[in-house]
Amino acid sequence: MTGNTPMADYNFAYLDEQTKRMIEQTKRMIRRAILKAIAVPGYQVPFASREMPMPYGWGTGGVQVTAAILGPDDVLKVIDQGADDTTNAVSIRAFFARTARVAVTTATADATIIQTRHRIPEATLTADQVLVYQVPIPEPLRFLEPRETETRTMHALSEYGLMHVKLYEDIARHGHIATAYAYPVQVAGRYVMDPSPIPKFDNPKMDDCPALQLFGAGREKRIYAIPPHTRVVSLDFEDHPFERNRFDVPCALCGATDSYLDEVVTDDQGGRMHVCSDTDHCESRRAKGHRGTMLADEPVHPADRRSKLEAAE
Amino acid sequence: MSYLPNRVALVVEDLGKSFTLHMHGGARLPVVANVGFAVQAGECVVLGGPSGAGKSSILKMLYGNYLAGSGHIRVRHGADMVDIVDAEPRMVLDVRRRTLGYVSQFLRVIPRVPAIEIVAEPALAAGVAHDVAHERAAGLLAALNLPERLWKLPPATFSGGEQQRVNIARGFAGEHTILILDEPTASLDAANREAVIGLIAARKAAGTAFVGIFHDEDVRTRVADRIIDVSAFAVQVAA
Amino acid sequence: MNANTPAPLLEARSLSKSYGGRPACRQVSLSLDAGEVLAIVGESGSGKSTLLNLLSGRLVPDTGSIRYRMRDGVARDLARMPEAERRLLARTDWGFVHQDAALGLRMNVSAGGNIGERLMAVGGRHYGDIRATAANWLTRVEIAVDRIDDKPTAYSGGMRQRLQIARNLVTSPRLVFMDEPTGGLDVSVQARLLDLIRGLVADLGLAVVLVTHDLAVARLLSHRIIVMKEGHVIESGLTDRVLDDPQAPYTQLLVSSVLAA
Repeated sequence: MTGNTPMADYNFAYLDEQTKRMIEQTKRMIRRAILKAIAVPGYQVPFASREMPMPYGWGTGGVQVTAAILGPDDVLKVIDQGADDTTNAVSIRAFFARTARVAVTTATADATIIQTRHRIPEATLTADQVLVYQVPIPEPLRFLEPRETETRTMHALSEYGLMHVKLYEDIARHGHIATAYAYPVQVAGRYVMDPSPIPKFDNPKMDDCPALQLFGAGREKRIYAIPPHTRVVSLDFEDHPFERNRFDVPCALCGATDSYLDEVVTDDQGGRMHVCSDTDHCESRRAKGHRGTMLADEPVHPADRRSKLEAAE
Repeated sequence: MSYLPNRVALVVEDLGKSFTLHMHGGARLPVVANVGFAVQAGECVVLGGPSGAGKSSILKMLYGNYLAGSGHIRVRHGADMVDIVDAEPRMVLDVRRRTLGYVSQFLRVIPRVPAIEIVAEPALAAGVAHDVAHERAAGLLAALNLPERLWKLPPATFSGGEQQRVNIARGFAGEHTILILDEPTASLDAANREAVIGLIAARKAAGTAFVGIFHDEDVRTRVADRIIDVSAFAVQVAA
Repeated sequence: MNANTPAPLLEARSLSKSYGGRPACRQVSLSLDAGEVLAIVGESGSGKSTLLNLLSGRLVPDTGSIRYRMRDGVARDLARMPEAERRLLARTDWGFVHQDAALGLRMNVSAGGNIGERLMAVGGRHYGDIRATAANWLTRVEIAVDRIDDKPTAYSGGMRQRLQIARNLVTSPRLVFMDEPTGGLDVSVQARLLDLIRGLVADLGLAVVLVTHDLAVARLLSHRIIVMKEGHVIESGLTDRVLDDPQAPYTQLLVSSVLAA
């Protein structure tokens, strides 16, 4: 698969597959872990996480999952906090463009694999897509039970009362469930899972999602998954039901009222605006003529932006 | 529950006891041997004899508080005769709950528990309803002239006499069919001794069997139907 | 007479446990009825804590068996019970009160959360109800309800023990294991805690296995007593009988040491 490329020293997509030099067959190992994770939705499968050419915390888990599933025909999109153009997203995209020479995109609809940190795209995903999450801490029970042996047993025996203790503490302290990110979910009525630090706004998107969702934690050496069309329920209390956070204002650029907004400081006078955190979503809407209150210029066509990006890489 | 056709409440046979003092080279200290007597319902048997003759030890064996070395202590417990000597601890506790009461010389003070609760407890343990138990406790404390202002206080700060009246009230509150009295009147004044004599007489009339030790000659003669001289059971030490 | 005496709640047969060849518990058999308080006394290293951990399933015996009569009346062998069921039993029908409250409480969780955990573990999903139950239990263990959101780290030693007891009793267990529950507390604090335990045990009809080296605690709380030394049961019987008329040399020593102190 390596072919006659400037990066011939590397295996396709970096991880060794069939090389004679290394006895490890890393991709096979990770794929086995992924298959097991899909077979047992929400269960954290241990895997032998490899050293990646980037530090922990920069998505080494997600990168290994992506590398293991990436094929030459795939089209890769990488987002960080919803944006395609942050350092982390750009460098991971560049990494795979160089090591695998796969096509990259910023358009959610065009991507077959989307690696993400902290967001789920606003556009509805399809059965042809795989969403790969970068996960810093995969263990949702760790907050209250630091012993790994104990949390494993609790998962094995479905002892999840402790998750509700965490939510109880939230309500006792704040009057409501204040957990806004990494809001715990129960997958397929069995395993409780940390959805990675996505905003709880995104939690409902995981439920019955047509796309395969894979989660990779590099430092913690865990892979877990939500197969397509799986029931994903956010934990809550009867008298304090799960609520998706809402925004009182529409996106200042595209006018969207149903997307997750970031607050952006616009000047040193305390000026601020709320804009879609999903940059592709925002640009697509603007391309279709949706206009927010603070949009001054003509919208940049996503296609222009994409070609610019590709030129840069 | 059918009333006893047989009025025997307690039968003691061949009861013997000695202490082995392991801390003192295993020295054996004989107490009593071949103790035998029976007590009828409504009868008060008083153990007499000089101090050190083993009166108190016999009472403690009857209650299961001391382990008998030999013999039998058969107690009418409901429809059965239970031998305290070889009964399981649980059975002894059940006998104490429903049949056999004990009034010691001193109140074992339980921290923070008010006098009235201490008195009502045996009745509650025997299954008497809360209100009835408290009424009974109040009646007993009144009969024993304990000022009402003390009833709701824990007896830890009471005088010796006051504590002992709480103790006696507690002993009577269970309305056991057999009651063991270990010098209950020792620390009481004349008026309160009189009150205790009255209580004993009333319970005897109701069919309670008593076994007791009374130091006070006057009390002894007034309550006793029979006096058994315990020195008769003294162990014959081989010369 | 208890004509239809029910089977014991807990029954242990010939329990033995060694650590690296050194026996800590040798051939111990005992049984416990519903509502009965059994004290296990002995000095440090006598095996009393090992026995408690064996009985409560926290240690696996080398030999011997433990049977527990479940709420459906059927006695089950704990060793043959699936782990999930055993753990469920341990957090519903059983309680365990540690000497060190930090072992029995979640120190970084509020008092309300500590008490509510067992409720949530068995499916409690109504915050208001859980909180109300927690408040009620705080009152029962004499902790002001306005302390419900404080963490145990802000509590005194006596309060922590009372909180630990509430946390255990919230699911109405029938059997509670206690390991030196009053150990390390000031005398006055100890007296209050003992009184509270005594009251709760009587009111709730709890069966208790209590490990203590304090004979006064054993006398106040227990019906029966087991005296242990070097892993053996030296003497057992009615608590007041064993303490007032000890038979074994070791028990006599133990009792006389206390009186001398």
